[in-house]
Amino acid sequence: MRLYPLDPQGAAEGTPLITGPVSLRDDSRTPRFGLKGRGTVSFLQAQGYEVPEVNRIANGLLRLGREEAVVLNHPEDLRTRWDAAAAPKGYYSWREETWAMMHLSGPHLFDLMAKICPVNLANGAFAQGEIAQTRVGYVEAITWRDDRGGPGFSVLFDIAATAFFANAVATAAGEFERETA
Amino acid sequence: MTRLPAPYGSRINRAKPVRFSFENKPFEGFEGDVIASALAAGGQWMLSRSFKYHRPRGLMSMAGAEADTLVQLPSDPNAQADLTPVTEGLKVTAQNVNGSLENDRDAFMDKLGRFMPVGFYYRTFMGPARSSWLKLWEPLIRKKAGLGVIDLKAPHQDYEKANLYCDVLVVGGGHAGLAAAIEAAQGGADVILAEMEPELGGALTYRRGSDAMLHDLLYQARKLPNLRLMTGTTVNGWFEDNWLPLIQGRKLFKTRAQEVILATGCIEQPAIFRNNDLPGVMLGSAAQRLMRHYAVKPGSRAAMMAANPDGYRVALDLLEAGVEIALLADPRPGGSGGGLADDLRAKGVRIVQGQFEEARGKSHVSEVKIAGEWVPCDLAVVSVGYAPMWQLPCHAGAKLGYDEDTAQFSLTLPDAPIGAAGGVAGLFGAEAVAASAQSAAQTALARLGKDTRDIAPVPDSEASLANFELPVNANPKGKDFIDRDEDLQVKDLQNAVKEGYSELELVKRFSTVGMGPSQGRHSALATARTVAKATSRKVAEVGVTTARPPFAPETLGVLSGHHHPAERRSALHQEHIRLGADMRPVGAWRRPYFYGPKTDAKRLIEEEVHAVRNGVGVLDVSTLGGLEVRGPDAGEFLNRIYTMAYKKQPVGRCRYCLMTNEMGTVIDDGVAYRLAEDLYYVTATTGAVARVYSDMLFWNAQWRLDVDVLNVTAAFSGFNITGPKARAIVEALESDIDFSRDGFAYLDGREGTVAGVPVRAMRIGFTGELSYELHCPSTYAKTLWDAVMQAGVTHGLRPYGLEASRILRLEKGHILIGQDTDALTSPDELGFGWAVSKTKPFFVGKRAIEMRRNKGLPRKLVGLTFDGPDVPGESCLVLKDDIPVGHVTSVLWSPTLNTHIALAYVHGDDAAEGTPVTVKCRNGARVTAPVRGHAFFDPDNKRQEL
Amino acid sequence: MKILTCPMNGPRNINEFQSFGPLKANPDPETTSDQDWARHLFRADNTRGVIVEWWRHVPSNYFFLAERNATTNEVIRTFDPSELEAAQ
Repeated sequence: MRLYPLDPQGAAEGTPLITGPVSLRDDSRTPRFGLKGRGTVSFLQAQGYEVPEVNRIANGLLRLGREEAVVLNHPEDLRTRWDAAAAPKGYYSWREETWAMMHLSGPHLFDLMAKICPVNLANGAFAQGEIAQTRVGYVEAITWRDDRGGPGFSVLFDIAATAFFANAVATAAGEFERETA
Repeated sequence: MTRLPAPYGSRINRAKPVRFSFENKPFEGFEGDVIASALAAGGQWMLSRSFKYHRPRGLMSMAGAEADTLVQLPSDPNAQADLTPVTEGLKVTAQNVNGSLENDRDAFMDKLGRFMPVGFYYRTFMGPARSSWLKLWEPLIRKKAGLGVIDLKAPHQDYEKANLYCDVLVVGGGHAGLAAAIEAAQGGADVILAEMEPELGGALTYRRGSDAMLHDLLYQARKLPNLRLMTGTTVNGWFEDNWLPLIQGRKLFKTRAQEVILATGCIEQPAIFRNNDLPGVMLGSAAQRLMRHYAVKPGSRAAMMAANPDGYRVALDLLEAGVEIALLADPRPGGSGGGLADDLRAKGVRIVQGQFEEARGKSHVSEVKIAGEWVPCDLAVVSVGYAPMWQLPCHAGAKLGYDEDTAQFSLTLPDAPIGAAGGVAGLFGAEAVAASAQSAAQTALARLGKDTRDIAPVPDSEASLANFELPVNANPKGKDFIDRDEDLQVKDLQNAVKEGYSELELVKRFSTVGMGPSQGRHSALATARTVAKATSRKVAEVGVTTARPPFAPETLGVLSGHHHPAERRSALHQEHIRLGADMRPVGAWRRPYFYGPKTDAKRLIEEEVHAVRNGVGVLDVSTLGGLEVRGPDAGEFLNRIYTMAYKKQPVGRCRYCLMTNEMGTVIDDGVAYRLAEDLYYVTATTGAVARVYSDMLFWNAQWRLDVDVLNVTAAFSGFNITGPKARAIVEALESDIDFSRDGFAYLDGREGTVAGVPVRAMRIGFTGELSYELHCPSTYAKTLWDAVMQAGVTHGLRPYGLEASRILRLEKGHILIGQDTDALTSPDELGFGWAVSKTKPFFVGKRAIEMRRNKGLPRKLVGLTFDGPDVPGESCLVLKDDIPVGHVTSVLWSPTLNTHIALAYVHGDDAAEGTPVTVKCRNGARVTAPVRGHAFFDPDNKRQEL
Repeated sequence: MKILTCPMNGPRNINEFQSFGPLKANPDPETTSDQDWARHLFRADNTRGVIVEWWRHVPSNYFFLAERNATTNEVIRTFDPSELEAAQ
C-alpha cells in the first residue's frame, strides 16, 4: 500500500530510466532507517553497529553528521527497538520518505558523474566507503561508491525531485548515446 | 591561384575539395582550410569593410587578432574567417557592408574621416530630444556598424558541460607548452594540455626549421598515458583557485587544476604607418601560416620590414616559396640580420636600413614607400616584435611591466600555484624556451609533492633581438591605424591625451581603443607606447587596460548548457492529472490550479469555491513546508523563533506561528502542532520553508539549545478537507481518531490511523470553514487520498485548486506572506498584535517590533470592496491627499459575496472601519472605497468552529 | 571558482555554500539602548583584514565558521561552532 514515485500511479510514473552507456536504477524501496540529533550514535552503537567517521560508510551504515546516520537494509525490528529505547536515542528522520534512492552504473559512468556532480568521483580520487554530500543532477544529494558487478554510485536525494533527477541524468547521458549511435 | 606543393599545407587534405560561397561567388578550398585561407587561395583577399570608415580590409594575423576577418555565416554572426573551417556548401557573406563588399556605398565614409574625430559619437549624437540616442541614433549607427545578424531560426543544438580535474593544466601547446607538459607528466603528474588551434605545436607548425623539434616533442607527448592532449580547446579565463573554463566546440569543461602552467606564447604585433590596414599588408607569422598550414602563396612580390631574426627567416621562407623579395627594410639603427642577412644577400635580396613609411593601393597593397622610395609589390610583410599573451596571466593577478631594454612587455606572476614558460615569459630562443618550460614543470611537481630534478637556466640568445620599438609618429595625412577594429589612428590617441584623458583607462573609454572584438590583441602595445610618449611617461607606467574573462568570444549556449528548470512533484501529482487538473508551477512545485478544461476556468473555479462554502472540498497541501522540532528545548526554541508562546502549549493542540526577522518584519507563518512534550510538527509556507529551515539551524548554531530540526516537507503529504460537510466525511473514514465535534475541537491535533495509514490530523484551515487537515507519510498519500475520496462520494466532495484556495482565503481576509507583506511589514501593520507575545523575554524581532511600535503606525493592511466598474489591480496605489501612502496587495472577485474584494495598505490614520480611502486604478481612474475589516465573509469566524 | 574547505565535508566549490555574514556580538536586548540596537541591526563594520564569518554547507545543512581575510579573500581556517563554546 506504500507507493514510491516511480510506481504505477506514483508522482514520477512513466519517467523513463535510461539504460545503455549509463544505467539508472530505482532503489527507493530499499529500507533505510535514519536518525538525527543527540543520542543517535550511542543508540546505534548500543545496537551493535560500528559507527564510522563522518562521511564514511561501514556495513550499510552511512554516517552523515556528528549525530546523523542512516542504516540501509536494516532488520525490520530496528524501528521497534528504537521506539522502545530510552532517550537520548536520536530522533527519527523519515529517510524512507524524504529521500529517493537511485543507482547509476554503465560503461560511461565516470564520464556522466563528471557532468552531473562537482566532486571528483574518479577512481583514485574518491574511495570505496567515502560519502559525498553535494549536488548530483542539479539537486542536493548524498552519493557513494556502490559497485555491483561493475563500478556504480548510489544517490539519495529529495524524493519530490525523482522525475526531475531521472530526466536530468537522461539529458546528460544523451551525449554518450549520440556517441555510441 | 594554385597552391604550393606539399609539404606546404600541413592542415589541408588536397584529396577532399570543399565548395562554398563568399558574397554569392563560388569558391573551392580543401578540407582543413579556414575561410580566409580558402578565399586567399582563390585570390579573394578583401574580407570586410572597416567599422567606421568602411575601408577595405583583409587578413593580418591569421590568428584571430583582428576584427577585419569577421564574416557572417547562415547561423553564426561574427565568425572569424582566419579561424573558422570551411565546410561543404557554406554560405559566407561579408559584414558591415552597404551594398556589396567590392562596391560599398558607405566607402565615402573614408573621405569624411576628418569630420569624425575621436569622441565623435559622444559629442554628436546627443539631441535633439533626451531619448534621441536610444530611439534614433543608436539603431541607425548599429545598422551602419553592422556586426552580423543573429538567426533566430537557428536549429537546436546540444551544449554539454563537464567537470574536469588534473594535477597540472598546461595552457598552450607550442614548444613551451609541450615541453612543460612532457616534463610534468614524466614527473608523475596527471596533466592536461589545452591548445586552441586544431593541431599541436604553436609556432613550431609554421616557423622555419622547426619540423624535427616538433616531431620529437609530439612523439614524446603522445606516449605519456597521464598526459591528455586537448586540441581545438580554448582556455577562456582564469578564476580563483585555478578554476578554468575549457571550451572545446560545444562542450564546456569546468576544470580544476592543482597547478597551472601558462604557455600561451606571444602574438605578433603590427607596425604603424599610413595605410597599414590595406589587404596584402600582413604579419610575418601570417605569411608563414598561409604557406605552411594552407599552401597558400601570400603574394608574388613582397616588400619586407624586419626588425628581428624571425623577419629574416620569413623572408627566406618567402623566397623558397617562390615569392620575389623586392626589398627588405630593417629599421634598427646599425642593426643587422647577422648570418640570416648574409643568406638573403647571397640570394640577391636587397637590404636597406629603413621602415615602411606609407603603403598605397586601391583595395590591395600595390606599393610601399621605404626611405622615400616607392617599391611596387603585392605583399607587404611586417616582423617587428611581439606581445606576450597577457590575458590569462592577468586574470590570475599577474602584473604587467615593460622592459625598456628589450622593448617588450613583461609579466610578474602572483604568489599562487601558477607558472609561465616560453614566449609569455619573454623567452624566444629554443633552448631557453625549453629550459623555462622544464623549470616551470619542476616547480609545479615540487608543490605537488613529487620527486623533482634541477633544471639549469639557459640564457636566451634571442630575447634582446625579438622586439624593436618602432618610433610611432602620426602621419600628417593619417590612416595610420593603431586599432583596426575601431578604426583608430595615431592622432586619435594623441588627441585623447590632449583632451585631458592621460590615464590609459580613460583613453580607452574616450577613444574606444581596445574595445573591439580583438580586445587589444594587436593594439595594446602600440597604444601603451603612444600614450607613454604623449604623456612623457614610461610604457610600464601606462600598461594595458584590465584584462577580464572571457579571453575569446563564447556562445550563450556554452554558458547555458542544458536547461533544467527545477521540478518537484507532490505524491498525488498523477492523481491530479487524472482528475483533469491544470498543473501550474508554484516555485519548483507543480500544483493544481483548478480541475477541468482550461476553456472553462472561470466557471470551474467559482464552482470549486461554492463547493467549499456550501458542501465540502479537498485541497492538496503537500507542498506546504513541514518541519519537525524535537528535543527537551523544543518549546524554548519555538518561543525564540516565533512571536507566540509555545512552552505551555498543551500536547494535542495547534497554535499559530508568526515569524519575524531581527528587524521585526514578518517573514513567514504556519501552525505548530504539539505531538508530544518534546515534539512539534510545524508548517511553513511553500516558498519559504527552505529558508525557515536554514534560519532555524543558523539560530541554533548560535543558541546551542538541546533541539533537533528536520525538514520533512517532502516526507509528509497533506490534504485539507473543508466545508460544512467535512465532518461527515472524516467520520465516515475507518479510523481510531474521534472526529466528533466534542472529541476534536477547533485547533486540536490528533495522531492515529485512517484507512490503515498513520495520520497527523489537525483542525486547521485557510478557508474559514469547518476543516480537517490530514497529514501522512508521502508513500501512503495515495491510499489515504483514495479513502477520503471514497468517503466523500455521497457528500459531493470536490477537489479544488490553488485559485479557489486564494479566493477562499481572501474572503476570510487571511494574508499570504510575500503577497500581502513586503520587506517592511510589521505584525502591527497586519493587525496581528494578538499574535505577538508580550510576556516572553525574547524572540527574534521582539526588540525591533517594540521600537517600531513606539514610532507609531505608518500604514495598516485593511480590507476594501469594489462594487463599481473600476477595480484596481494588485500593486495599484492607495492615495491620501493625492500622495501615495500604500498599495493594493490582493484583489479578486468573490463568487460568495458577488463583489471584488481586496487587501490594501492604507495610511495609519485611515485604518478605522468605514474610513473612505482612494485608490488609483491602472486606467488612471480614482475609486473610493470604505475600509472594511479583514474578514469579508463570516466576520465572527463562527463557521470554522462548527 | 573559489574553494572553501568545510570542516565536515572537505574542500568544495564555493557555490555549495551559503554565506550567513560575520559573526556578531549578541547584545542583551533588555539593557541595550534603542540607538545601539539599531546599530546592531543595521551597521556592518565592513572591516579590512581578518574577519570571522558564518557559512552553511547547503547539501549537508552544516553550519560552521571561517576566518577570512576580507582584503585578500584568503580563507585562513574554518572550524566547527563548538569551538566558539569552548572558547567562552
